[in-house]
Order: sequence, then C-alpha cells, then structure tokens
Amino acid sequence: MMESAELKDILFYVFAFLTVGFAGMVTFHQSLVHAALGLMGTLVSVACLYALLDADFVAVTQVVVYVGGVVILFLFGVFLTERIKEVKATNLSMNIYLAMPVGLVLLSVILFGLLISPIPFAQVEASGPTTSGIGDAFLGHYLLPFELLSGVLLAVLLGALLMARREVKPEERCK
Amino acid sequence: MTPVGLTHYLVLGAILFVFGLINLATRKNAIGVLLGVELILNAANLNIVAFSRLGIGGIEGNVFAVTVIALAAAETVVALAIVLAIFHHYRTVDVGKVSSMRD
Repeated sequence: MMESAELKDILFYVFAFLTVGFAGMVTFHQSLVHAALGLMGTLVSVACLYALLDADFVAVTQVVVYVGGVVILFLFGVFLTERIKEVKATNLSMNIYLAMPVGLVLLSVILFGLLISPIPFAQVEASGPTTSGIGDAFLGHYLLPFELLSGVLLAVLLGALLMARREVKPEERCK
Repeated sequence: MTPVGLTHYLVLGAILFVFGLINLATRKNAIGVLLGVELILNAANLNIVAFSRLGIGGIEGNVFAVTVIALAAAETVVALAIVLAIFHHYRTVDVGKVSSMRD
C-alpha cells in the first residue's frame, strides 16, 4: 500500500512533465492548430495540479472556462483567419535563436532568485472543499471586485460583438 | 527525493512563464502570440494557488485565481475580436506586417 503523500508526489511529477511537454508544444510547434491543442493539454494538466493543491473549485473553473471556452475560441480564431495549408503563415520567425538564450538566462535568474530567497511560510493543513469558502468570500469581503468583474464581462460582451461583426452598409440593411 | 513543496510549484511556474515569453517573442501570428499570453497567465495562477495552499493558507488565493481566470477569458475574447477585425481589414494576422492603426 502506497502512502498518500508519496502518491501525490508521483502525480505531481507526472502532471508537471505533461505541463512542460505541452507548453513546449505550444511554443515550438510550427502549426497553430497543434499549438492550440497543446494549450488545451497544458490547461488540463494545470487543472490536475490545482486538484492536487486541493483547489477543487479552481480546477473545475479552469476546465470549464479555459478548456471548454477559451481553447475552442482559439481554434475558431485559427480556422477563421488562417490559411491552414500555408505553413509559412504560421511559421516561427528566425529570432528563435535570439529568444532561446534570453529565455534560458531569464529562467536561470528566476531559479537563482528562488534558491537564495528564504521561503518564510510553514506548511498549512488542507481545509477540505473550498467552494463554499470561495462563495462566502465573493459575496462578502470581495463583493466589489466581484461586481466589477461582472461589469467587465458585460463590457467585453458588447465590445467584442461591436468589433468582430462585419460592417453592414445602410443600403444593404434596407433589403 | 524530497517531498513536493512550494518550491517545486514555483519552479514549474517559472518554466511555464519562460515558455510563454519565448512564444511571445517568436510567433509571427497574432493568435500564436495570444497563446503565449495564456501560458503566462497560467503560470501566475499556478503560483497563486500554490502560495495559497502550501504557503500562507486561507481561501484568498483561490478567489484571486478564479478572478484571474475570468479576466483572462475576457481578455482572450477581446483580443480575438480585434484579430478578426484586423484580418477583415488587412487580410493577414502577421503582427510584423500590421504596422499602422489607420489606412
């Protein structure tokens, strides 16, 4: 019988490797459709990591909003704008040879900062399901951000509709 | 092997962030650039949730994460609408070629 903590560690490494692999696919794959599908894999793996972190509501929100909504939107965007057969249009540009060293330097700087900085927090115990707590927080202490968020969503709905629709000439409208 | 702690998640978040940044720097296609933005937002979100669970505790990290997810979805919708409008106008989504805001 395996210890629960040990199993969680193994699962973390599995999902971490999946996340990094799919993220590499997003970044380095030539085809945009494959990159969007790689983003889907990344988001699902990160949702699994949220579940490992006992953030059940966030995990489910990630799957519903990101995987169900945003990735589908991306795929529609790719299909609507891209001549998929033309690899050249989706190609990475030449400055990948400049971007890779810069990215590696940045990564090593971040990791170095992580190593030398003390982490002053103690491990806290899991507090069970989080959904009711998130609901209480949103309708209590964080009510103003919550309402602002709904206002933003309404503005986004109208703004996106206004920007993405085709222009209709007045004479066409009369027909 | 040390047990998985906060540092492991932070390292993973850093790797995701750098992947997103390389994507931002190298993609020519505007939708490809947006994919990089999503990677960066997910890296930040993973850090927030990891700090919330393995760090200071409490529910606030989850609240922030849900807020970030909602705002990221909104951002994607607006950006894709702009990309579609640009495509209708210029017939291309190459960010190197679209260089003026008016005709």
